[in-house]
Amino acid sequence: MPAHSTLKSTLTAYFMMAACLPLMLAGTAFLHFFSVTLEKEITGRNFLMAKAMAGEVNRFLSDYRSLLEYTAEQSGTLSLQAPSEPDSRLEAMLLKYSLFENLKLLDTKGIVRTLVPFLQDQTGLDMSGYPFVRKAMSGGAPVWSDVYLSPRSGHPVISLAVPSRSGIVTGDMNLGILQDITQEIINANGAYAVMVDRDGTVIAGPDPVAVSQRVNMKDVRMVRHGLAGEEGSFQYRYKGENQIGSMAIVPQTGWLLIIIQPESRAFAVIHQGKWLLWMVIAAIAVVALAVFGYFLRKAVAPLLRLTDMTRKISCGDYHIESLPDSYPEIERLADDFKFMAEAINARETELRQSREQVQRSEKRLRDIYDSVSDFIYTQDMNGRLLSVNRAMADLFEYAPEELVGHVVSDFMKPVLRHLFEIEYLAQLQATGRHQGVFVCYTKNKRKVYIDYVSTITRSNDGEIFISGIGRDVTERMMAERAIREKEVWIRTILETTPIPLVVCDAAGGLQFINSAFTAVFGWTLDALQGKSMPRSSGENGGTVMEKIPELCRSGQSCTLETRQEAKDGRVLDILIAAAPIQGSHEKPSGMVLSLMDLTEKKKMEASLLHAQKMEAIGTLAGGVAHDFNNLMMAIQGNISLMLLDSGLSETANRRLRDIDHFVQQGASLTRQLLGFAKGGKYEVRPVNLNELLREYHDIFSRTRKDICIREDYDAVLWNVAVDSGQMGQVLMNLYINAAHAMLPEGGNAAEISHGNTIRVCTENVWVKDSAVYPFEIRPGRYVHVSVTDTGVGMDESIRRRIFEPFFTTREMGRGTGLGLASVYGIVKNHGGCIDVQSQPGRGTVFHLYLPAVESLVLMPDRTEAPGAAALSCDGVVLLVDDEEMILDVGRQMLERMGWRVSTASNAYDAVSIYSERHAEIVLVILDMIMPESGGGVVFDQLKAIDPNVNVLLSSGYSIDGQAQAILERGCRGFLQKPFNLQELNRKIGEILVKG
Amino acid sequence: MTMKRYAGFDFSVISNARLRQAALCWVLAVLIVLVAGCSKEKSPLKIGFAGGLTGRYSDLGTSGRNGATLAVEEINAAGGIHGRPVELIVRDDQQDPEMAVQVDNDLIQKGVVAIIGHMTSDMAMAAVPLMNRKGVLMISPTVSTTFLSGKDDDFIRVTPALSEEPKKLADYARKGLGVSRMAIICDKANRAYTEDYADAFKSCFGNMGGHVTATITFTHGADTHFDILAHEVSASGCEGVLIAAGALDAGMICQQLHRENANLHIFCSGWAMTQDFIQSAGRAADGVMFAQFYDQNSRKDTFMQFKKRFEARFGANPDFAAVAAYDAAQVLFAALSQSPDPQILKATILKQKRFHGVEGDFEIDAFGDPIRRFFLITVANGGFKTLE
Repeated sequence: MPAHSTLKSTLTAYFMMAACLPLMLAGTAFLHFFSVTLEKEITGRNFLMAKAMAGEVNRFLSDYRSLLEYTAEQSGTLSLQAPSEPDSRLEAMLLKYSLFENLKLLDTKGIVRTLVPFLQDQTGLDMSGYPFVRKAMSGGAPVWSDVYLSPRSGHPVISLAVPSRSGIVTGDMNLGILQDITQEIINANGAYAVMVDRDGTVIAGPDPVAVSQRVNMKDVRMVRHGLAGEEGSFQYRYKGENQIGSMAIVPQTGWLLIIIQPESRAFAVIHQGKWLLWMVIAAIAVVALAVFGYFLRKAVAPLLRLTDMTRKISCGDYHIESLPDSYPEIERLADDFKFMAEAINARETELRQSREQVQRSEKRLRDIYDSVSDFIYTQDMNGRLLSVNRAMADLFEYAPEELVGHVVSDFMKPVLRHLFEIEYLAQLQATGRHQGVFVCYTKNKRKVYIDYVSTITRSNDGEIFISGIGRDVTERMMAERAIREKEVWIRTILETTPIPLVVCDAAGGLQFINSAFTAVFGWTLDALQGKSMPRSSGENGGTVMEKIPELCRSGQSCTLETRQEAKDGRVLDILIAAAPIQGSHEKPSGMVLSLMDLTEKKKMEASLLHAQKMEAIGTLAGGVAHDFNNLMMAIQGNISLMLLDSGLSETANRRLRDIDHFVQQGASLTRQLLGFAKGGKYEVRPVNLNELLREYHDIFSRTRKDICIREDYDAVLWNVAVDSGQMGQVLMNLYINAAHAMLPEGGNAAEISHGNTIRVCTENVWVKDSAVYPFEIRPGRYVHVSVTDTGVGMDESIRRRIFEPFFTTREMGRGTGLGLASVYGIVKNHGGCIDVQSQPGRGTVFHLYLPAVESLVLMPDRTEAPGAAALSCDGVVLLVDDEEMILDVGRQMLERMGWRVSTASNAYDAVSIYSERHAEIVLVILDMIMPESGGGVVFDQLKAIDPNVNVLLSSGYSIDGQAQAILERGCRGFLQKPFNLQELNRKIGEILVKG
Repeated sequence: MTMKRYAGFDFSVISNARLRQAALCWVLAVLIVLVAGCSKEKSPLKIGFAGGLTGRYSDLGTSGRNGATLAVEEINAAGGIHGRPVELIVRDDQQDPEMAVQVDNDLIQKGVVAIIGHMTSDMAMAAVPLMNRKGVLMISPTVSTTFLSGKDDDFIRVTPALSEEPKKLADYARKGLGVSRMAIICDKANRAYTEDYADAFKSCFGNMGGHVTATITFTHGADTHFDILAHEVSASGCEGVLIAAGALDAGMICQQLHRENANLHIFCSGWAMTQDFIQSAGRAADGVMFAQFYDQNSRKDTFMQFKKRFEARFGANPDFAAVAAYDAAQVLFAALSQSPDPQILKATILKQKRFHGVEGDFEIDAFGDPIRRFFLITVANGGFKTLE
């Protein structure tokens, strides 16, 4: 209820408005009218006075002027020719009329002719410098001057100049007269008169100092108005006091005559009247208020008593006493108040009893509320807690009242608060319900998880709020987290292990496969989920999967080796290890199986076995080849000698040549056998295989025009260190093999055909660690040569044996079976490897890998050394060999060449003979393999005797590492047995010429 | 029922007594505010003016008073100094040394912060010791005696010491006009100025090879006859005459000298350079030479505007005394604007050093003497004309 004014103040205000206000308004109006009228009259009176006075001054000035004009008329009769003498008539005039201080007669140039009172030194003075004189001279009319300092007296003076026929008459006015005029005005009311000239300078007034000091009053606004031509009365402020100035203009001079009176004194009667009137009004108002107050009190007092009564009731005091006699209306009101108080009292008693009952009920509910172990809370629609039970307060480690007013997010991490509030309240607004688990922190910073359900609730009185229940689930959450972490850990181990793993249930249905299983076998879990593993081939393939339920029941583990088909059809050798998974009640709930792929391992084992077999065959073949070479040496040597005999018949010669030819073929076979056995490298140099391939391409092409060779070479092919002859042998054998595969019937080598093509490719490759086994090569840089034909191809059974010596698919007598064996041996001996790929009907590819070198290819020295026959056979040749037949035939050959020969059949004899006769022995032909001491030991001993010893090694074996080592130590050459006379001769020539 | 509480005040239980008390408090508060407001009206800054306002030398005083009055009226129209109005208290020293001291004392008693005045050197000579004793600053518009130069006292002036003025006249007389013989006439009524002036002129003129034929002093009175004085001067055989006297007397003397010898070159001290001289000298004023720092023919904007305001206010052209008094008042206002403390007025002025004058800026040295330029001025066609 808005506050109203009291009855008392209202009645008082109405009284003021109805009675006092009109009185005051009337009084004010009257005063205003009265003041204005009186002020006007007073100022008007002053103005009239000023006008009268100005008129009087004007009359005075007119008299003054008239006098001077008279004097000016008379000046023509005055004697002016004796300026040194005073003029008596002027003197009389001056004495008679006290208006002037002095009179001067000036000539037409303004020079003083005479003056009264007479001063000698002033006669002849030039007054033309005075503006009023100049103006009178030029204007021809009387001119009043402004106030100026008299040079005679030094006092301010005003002069009048009146032109005459002979000059000008001037008179300095007696300002005292003006002063007297103004003094008439001074009266008891403080009024006085002031006269100012046309510049505002005071020329008369009550204060003579102002005149003598020539005070200027133009700072007074009224004076400025007057000098501008305005007459009238003005109010202004001067020296802190309000003044009234009534101003009139003196017509003749333009001077101002001002009657000044302080306002306070001019309007004194008005002010007095005002005060009197206000006093009367105030007195009337006071009396009226007093009377009114009395009657008001009489009327309002009972109401005030009623007010006290209501205050007592509001304070709970319902004992109401009767009021004293008053107006009937108020008495009726008082009785009603009393009745009301009794009714209120009864109702309050009833309310108090009800409240006590409610309080008891509320306490009961609160005890229940605080005793439950779950959380019970209420919130407002902004999420602020309105109430919490004891359980919730205890969990948060606060008192219940400390939590009220907070939002739950206050106990969360700051980064989650905003999100929780939005999510929580938004969900509640949308669905009316929200549940979940949130993380918060207690007072002591302990982390807790709370599972809650909140719902929007409407109370009986329409209030909407949020109510909820919750539970501390911290332990459960921590346990779940631990389980999840363990699960992730196990899954990571299973997924990252390189061994394929499978988990199946007790019935054999797959429940889990890891990524290694998918990588090896190709199936994903989605494809096999719940199904049995695909049946594997092999004798034990089905048994494993069928056994799983049994193994589960028994709880036993097992391992077995079998074959399993992959999704893409590949059959893999696998090792399966199965173990049961213990479930509840100590019964297996499934199996875990690891499936290790053994395919590559088996392949490697087969390759190793094959390599070992090949090595054993090679060693046997090498020994046989060596012995055969020695035998063929004896045969060929004798044949060479026999062919030199000129006494043989032609038939005998022909037969000897045939035998020599067959011995050559036999030597070629043993060479191939030795190539397979030990490869044999005689002269190893850095070679560009592209050039070698082109060279042998040309050779082969000339012999087999029906075979086309296509070249696909890497232009920047790395060099390889090989024996060119050996490598040429390899290439020829490969070409021959390819030709046999493409033309099994033989074909027509002379007929050009492009239907049969051998494709030869070269490239640089890096062989990695993972690829070297079982080829027994080092990882690194290699040159890869592939020879591909479009022949009939081979099946696996043939492909596996292709490099075995004496293995051939050709008819008896059409192949020796040593070609590819020698290729294998030569390549191996050069530190490389060879592999073959072939399928029946699809041709064959041979892959050669030779280690690359950094050395530059050197151009071979093509100069031929002369044979020994070209040399002078001066000297002895020492022939050393443990085979008598070799010694015998060798000696004969040498002697036939012209050499003196000495022989030794063992190392001791050889060294002994050389030590005695080394000066004459020019060459030693030394067998590599001898019992007791090998060729290397003998060589070293010979070299010790003579560092420049010329030694030619010979052997039934091809050049190998041992022979190579001897050559590197200074041996001059190597000659493989068997050799003929020409070969021996050429080799001796090479050694002895090069030196 | 909810009780409305308004600013902690329960309206339902307001009693008549409280209403009356509240009304009374309001009325008292209003009265206090009114009284306080009235009492806060700022007191005026009182400045004194002392000069000869009556007598035959009153031309200087009244002009100076008018110049100072205009300055005060303008500063008050602009709001006063830091809101305080300036009150100019004027006193007439009547060109009497004893009266000069008396009026200065009276002004000091009235609480003036400084005195603008006196206008003549004799009065200043009498007043300065009092100012030094009382520690009140005196700023003179027109006093130029050298007896007050180079002294650390409570006297500052805006007119330079007269040493340069007679030198300029002597130089013009000797070199410009070729005058070699000069006579000097001095009024003893202002000896500190006139004799100082005469001595300075003699010294300069003599150093240039000139010769002073006669030095005549007079005191205005009934026994003073300017015609006789003129005759004496003429008889001395001079070619030129220097008159060191007030405007009225100098004008009269000029007339007498002109009657004696119209060819005489007449030179006057700056003291006489007012309109009263031209009026009293008549045609004899033509050609008379003055040397003054005040160029009446200046076309400077500040001077033109000042001249216009002065004419509007007082109905007459401002002479050098009015300009000097105006400048003196501006110097004082500038110092008071920085600090109203009368004890440090002089220090403030000497520290500022440079001030804006009606005819341009000027500087006051450490002894309170200004540095200003002098012009050669002559009278022509009833007015002053600047030669250089």
